[in-house]
Amino acid sequence: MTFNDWNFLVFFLPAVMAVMAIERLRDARAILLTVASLVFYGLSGIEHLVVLIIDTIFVFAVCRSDKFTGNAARLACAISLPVVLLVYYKYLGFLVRTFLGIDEATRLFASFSISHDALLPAGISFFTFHLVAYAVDRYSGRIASSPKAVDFALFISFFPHLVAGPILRLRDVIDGLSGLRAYRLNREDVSIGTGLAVSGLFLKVVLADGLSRGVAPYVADPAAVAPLAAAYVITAYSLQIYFDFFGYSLVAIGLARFFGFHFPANFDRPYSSRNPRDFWRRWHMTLSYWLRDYLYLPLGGNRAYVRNILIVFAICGLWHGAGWNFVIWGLYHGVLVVLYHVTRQWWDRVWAPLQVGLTFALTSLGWVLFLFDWDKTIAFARALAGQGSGALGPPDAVGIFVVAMAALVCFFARFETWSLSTTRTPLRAHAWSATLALMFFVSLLFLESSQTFIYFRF
Amino acid sequence: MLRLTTFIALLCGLMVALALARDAVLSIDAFAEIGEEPAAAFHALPPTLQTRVKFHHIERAPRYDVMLLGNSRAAAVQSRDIELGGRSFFNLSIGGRYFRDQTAFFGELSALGKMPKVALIAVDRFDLYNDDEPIWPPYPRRWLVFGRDWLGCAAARACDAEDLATMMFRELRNSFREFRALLNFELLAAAWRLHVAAKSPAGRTKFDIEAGLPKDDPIDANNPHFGLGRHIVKGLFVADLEDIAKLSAAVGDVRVILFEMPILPAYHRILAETPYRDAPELRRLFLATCGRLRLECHPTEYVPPDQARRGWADTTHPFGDVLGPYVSRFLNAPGKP
Repeated sequence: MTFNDWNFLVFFLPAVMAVMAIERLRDARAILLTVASLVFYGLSGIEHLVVLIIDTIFVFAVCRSDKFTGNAARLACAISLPVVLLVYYKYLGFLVRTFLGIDEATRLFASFSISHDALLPAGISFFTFHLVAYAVDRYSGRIASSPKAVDFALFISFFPHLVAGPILRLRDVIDGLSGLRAYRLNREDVSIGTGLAVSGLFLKVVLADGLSRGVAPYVADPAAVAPLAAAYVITAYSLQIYFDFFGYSLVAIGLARFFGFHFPANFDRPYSSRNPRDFWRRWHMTLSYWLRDYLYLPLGGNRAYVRNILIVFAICGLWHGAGWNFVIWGLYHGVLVVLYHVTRQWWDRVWAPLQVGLTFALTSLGWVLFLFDWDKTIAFARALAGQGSGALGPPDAVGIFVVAMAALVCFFARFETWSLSTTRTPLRAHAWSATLALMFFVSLLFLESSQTFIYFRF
Repeated sequence: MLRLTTFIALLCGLMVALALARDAVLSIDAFAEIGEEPAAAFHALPPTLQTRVKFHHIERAPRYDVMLLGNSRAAAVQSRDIELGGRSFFNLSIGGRYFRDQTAFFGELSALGKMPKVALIAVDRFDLYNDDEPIWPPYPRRWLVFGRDWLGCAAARACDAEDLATMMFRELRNSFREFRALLNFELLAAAWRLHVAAKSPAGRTKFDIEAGLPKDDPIDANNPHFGLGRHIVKGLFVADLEDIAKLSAAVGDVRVILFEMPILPAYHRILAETPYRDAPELRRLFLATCGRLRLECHPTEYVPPDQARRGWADTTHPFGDVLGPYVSRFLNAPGKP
């Protein structure tokens, strides 16, 4: 089940909210919300659900002891199973293909009657990071004592963040968990939650999917793309992936608000960044902070800046997908960050809009590695250089209009700020409510043809 | 702070406006504008909206002499395919429909006072199991039908309660799908295309039956039954036949002809040798009930291959030049006294 699904909007969410509103069930709210989250996840496949449950129980059980803090062997044990399962489900195919070759890998998989690409549990990269963060925090003593089992289960499985983040630490949800029993849906949470969720749905269903429809013909045959059309594809896909993931994050944060949880922001207008380092402080922020705290700093941080940045970004790329294109994408960003580090005294003197434009262009170019596999990337690069057939020309006026509208929203709209504002004049409050109603209505019109969130693949 | 009343009121208002706008778009009498061969845009509409467009035409047209009620298997027939002898004809067949729909349509025709003089009702061959969802009467009448069905099922020895429950569940899902269809930009666009096609000679495109039907269904001699799911609940089938008999008797001058659809000649032989286990019993039930109710009913017949005709789109979908003569024989045979 996904947020842009009729069944979720019409049945699941209202049913869960209704059950949570029953005062008599307040003692069981954490259990009920956990069960609802498992149902939400289980609808995508029972095997996936089993993986989630086993991972959760295992990490909780290993980390529960008071002797866990400072015990490296226990930490290694705790993270071993989630990491092994992540490698098995997400990377085994990639590793076997890399080290044995495609033919041998195909033969090997066929002999076991398995196909790893089809088995990947949704959001496994996300909940594995949750579990690892928890284990490391218990080891370091940042989490002094083990939470209640049901609270831990809810922290890991809570449906708004389960499939595609934001990536949370226990401290991000501890207030929500402890306040769940006494929680009552109040006007402020409804107001903010609705604003965020509706804005996010609109960005995904209308803008991201609208851009996707424009890009689709070019994706099918990258070698035939004319150079000007290639520039359109790069820009449109860059905006699409932003609205797709930003939209998801807004919906997740908004839905969590309906249950009294305050998730951290995941985006801060990343395409307005002035340099690559700034971009990573504003794009998928919860991942950036996770990588900083649990990988970059343990590696030594700034003491070996270039080496550590390249390692972190290579792993960041690999986290996104099991393929060399993702590793190269990660390294590409690592190199950009290092280059900025080396040239920052000149870079920072450039006219600010030019810095933003350059950062946007470099970032957008990188997304090509997300859009295509390696062979298609090469074909697209050739087409961009004018060496393709050029059969697919620039888009029509509608395609250009959609990109222009998306760019305006990207650089000038402030959905998060607008949603979080709770002090408005009556006139502005009515205007904001009417805008949300209109956005929700338009989103519903396009819901039937909406596509899966891009980050569900990760 | 969000004003929930403003939010909800505007949202509901927009939904109602959309429903009204779509109804206004669909209120065009496409069949009067285009003629018997509707625009391809018509077939882009979901069955519920196709039904609405056809009934919109029937409401405005004079009473037809002959009407054909069926699903996609009967949809290809046009007046040039049937020996009508100067009588007017309208094909009310809608793709993806079930026998219960024909009963419901028959009731709607009666309610509109547009019952034809001859109603040809196509019944899928009993060997074919079909998973299509019926169009039930609108709510709240639908709940009455549900209740009646359960009572009928309890009373009938042959009724399979599990089948009935499955059908009901499907119907609930279908109701939700209809609600979703209300809010669907693509359907709105399809309705608009029909409107444009009907109004603009340049926008008209003739419906090519071959494009509108599925590709050839392969015949598997070892497993010839389609396995599309059950669609005949015996107890309900009898109840539907009773409804048809009652409705036609109430009008008086209506001749009702029910006929089991033919099938591709090669497939006919296979099914004759290995019929679906319930098919002979259902056929007996069909003929016995018709006999009791004095309805004119015909079991399926073998249609020999004919090179001169276009023949079959697939194993179960005949073109008009095959089904037309098949139907004409029943139409032009002397009726029951």
